[in-house]
Amino acid sequence: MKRKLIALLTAGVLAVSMIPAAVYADEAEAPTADVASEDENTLSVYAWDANFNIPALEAAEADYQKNVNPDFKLNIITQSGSSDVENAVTLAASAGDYSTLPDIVLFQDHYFQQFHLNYPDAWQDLSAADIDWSDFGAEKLSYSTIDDVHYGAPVDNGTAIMAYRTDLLEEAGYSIDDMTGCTWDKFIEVGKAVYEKTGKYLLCMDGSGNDLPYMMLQAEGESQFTDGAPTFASNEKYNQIIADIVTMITENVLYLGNDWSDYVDQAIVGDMVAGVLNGNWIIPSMELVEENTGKWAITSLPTLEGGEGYAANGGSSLYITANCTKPELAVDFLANTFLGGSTETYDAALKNGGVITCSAKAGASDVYQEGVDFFEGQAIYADIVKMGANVPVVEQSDYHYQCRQYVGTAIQNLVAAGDTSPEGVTAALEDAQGQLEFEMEG
Amino acid sequence: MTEKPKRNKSAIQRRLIPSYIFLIIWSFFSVFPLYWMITAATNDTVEVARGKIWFGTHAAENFRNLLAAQPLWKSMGNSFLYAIAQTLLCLFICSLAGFGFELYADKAKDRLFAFLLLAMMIPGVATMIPLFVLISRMGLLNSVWGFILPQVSTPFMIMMFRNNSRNFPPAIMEAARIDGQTEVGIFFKQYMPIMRSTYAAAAVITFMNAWNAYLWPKVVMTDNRAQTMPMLIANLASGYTVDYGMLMMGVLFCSIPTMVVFFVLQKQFAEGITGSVK
Repeated sequence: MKRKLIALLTAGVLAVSMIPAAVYADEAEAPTADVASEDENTLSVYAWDANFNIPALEAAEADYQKNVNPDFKLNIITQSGSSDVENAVTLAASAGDYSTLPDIVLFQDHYFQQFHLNYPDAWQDLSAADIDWSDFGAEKLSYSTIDDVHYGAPVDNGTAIMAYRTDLLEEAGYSIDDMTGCTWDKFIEVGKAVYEKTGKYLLCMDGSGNDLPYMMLQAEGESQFTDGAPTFASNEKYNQIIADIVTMITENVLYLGNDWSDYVDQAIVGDMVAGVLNGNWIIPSMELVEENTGKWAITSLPTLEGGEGYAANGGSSLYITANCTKPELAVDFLANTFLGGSTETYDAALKNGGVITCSAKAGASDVYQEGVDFFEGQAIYADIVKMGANVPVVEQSDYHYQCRQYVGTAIQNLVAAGDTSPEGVTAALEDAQGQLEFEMEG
Repeated sequence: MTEKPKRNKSAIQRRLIPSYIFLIIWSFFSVFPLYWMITAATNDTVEVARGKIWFGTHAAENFRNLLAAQPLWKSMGNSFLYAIAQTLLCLFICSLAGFGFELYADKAKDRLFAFLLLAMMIPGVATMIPLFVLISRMGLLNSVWGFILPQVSTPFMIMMFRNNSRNFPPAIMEAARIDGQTEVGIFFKQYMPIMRSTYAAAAVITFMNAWNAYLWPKVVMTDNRAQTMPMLIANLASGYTVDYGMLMMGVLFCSIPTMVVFFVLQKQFAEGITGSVK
């Protein structure tokens, strides 16, 4: 009996351990324990967003295979979001074992400096690459450059667009030319007229975390931080920007969504707005409303004193991890695709994923000059690349997202109190800055 | 004489009306998300975002998009493999432990059991990094063993089997011993058939936990080819633009197995949870 039992148990255990082999009949299909690829022609990469970043990486893989190394393979490991990549780096660093990281990771621009500071040995720099860095917008590179050493290969272009529904503007008696280079005061005036005539808001914002104040300040050429410390409460322009935002909300110029879903699904997809201001990655969400094809146009941001404003929001870059045992291959791959401003990579990335380059060279291709039906035939991609070159470099902070959260709360409080007085705004911002400073000290 | 029971009956019915109203409202809130999940899987993303709650005509399109975007069948296969393997091993090990703890006399067993229960008090995230290091050094990342080993024996399951074993008649053990059965034979031939309700309840709980697990698989399954259904759903929900129709189609596929398991074992689950023995 005992023998039978032992035989049965052994068979059971063997059967369970055989299942993976049965499921992955083809050996190449079987997942391996090592994330970084052992094959000398293969690189592994963590990335997220199957409709945006991943088509761009696939385009680069095809480009490198076709023009440099036919045996090359990019093993793209899909993550559910940028936070997964951040967690993977944190986990590997906490465990003291970078062997669990892939060769390359796609990383959010705003977070890289903080992660480089916390885990300096998790990254490999791009010094070995022969790259014309002047081909890229200085603002984009400022996220991934530390002490003049480049770490990141820019993938997408986070340049902010100010998009307007030209048909609704016309209904209210205005045109896109009136809006280009206008002041925020003029914007508010137009916004009131648009809401009165059409019932649509000229702007929208995610109340749980939006970069509208950040982008508006960047368009003024300033930052919420000075030498690493938050200084926004004493910044006059920032005080004015927050007062303008509160005015816009109370005057029905700006729809304040409760969260991201409310912002995208209700305000934009729900067709509640006549204007959108955000990183250009918001375009696919706008295009979901097919009945508005041919009714939108994009331009630069308004500014406090008038004149065209430029800003950027979001975006990510590729970074080589400490676990990459083939840095030459990784650098060569990046240098011949994203960093080389390869039109083959970026044209396919634009067509398949809507990823817009921040390389001036890639932005000059024919594909970028084509008009887009949704935007009245405007060559928006070329326009965005041009706008991207004008985005001012402003100081970035590791506490960008925390700052955004505290300022968001200050705005909500001011709206609830209906307070746009200079004293009220300054007090709310001082409160927000105090909380941020407390967190930064902790 | 015949009027009185009728009056009583109608009075009882009247008294039950508020309960029924409450239950109907409660059922609505319980069932509506499931209904919405099914209808949303048949609508496109704009219709879902705009709050359409009736059936649409995009089910086939959502399904095609889902197949194109993610390795649906592979993830389903992985989830089944991990969940079934974990359920079988967990049930075997925990029932053996519960059997031993309850039906054999030993002075130290209660102290040992208390020590075991202490493990329940330690939050999972606290052991996440050491476990990850262990599994990583053992070379078990992206393997079925990496998924199931940390969950193969849980204090809760052992406690459940031990508690329910109290209803196992000791006389059966005595009779089996007299008949010449070994202790191992008693476990397989007497204990297992009699405790089948408990096994069913434990199977439902373990299968659902394994199927729905997200954090641990996310940590140890670093390869796309090893991903599970909840990881696939999370991938669908990421990105600047979410296709809600496709996402809900994925959620529907992810929900069906746990629903089937629950409905098939519903009766035994209820019996097993209350500790009944047949």
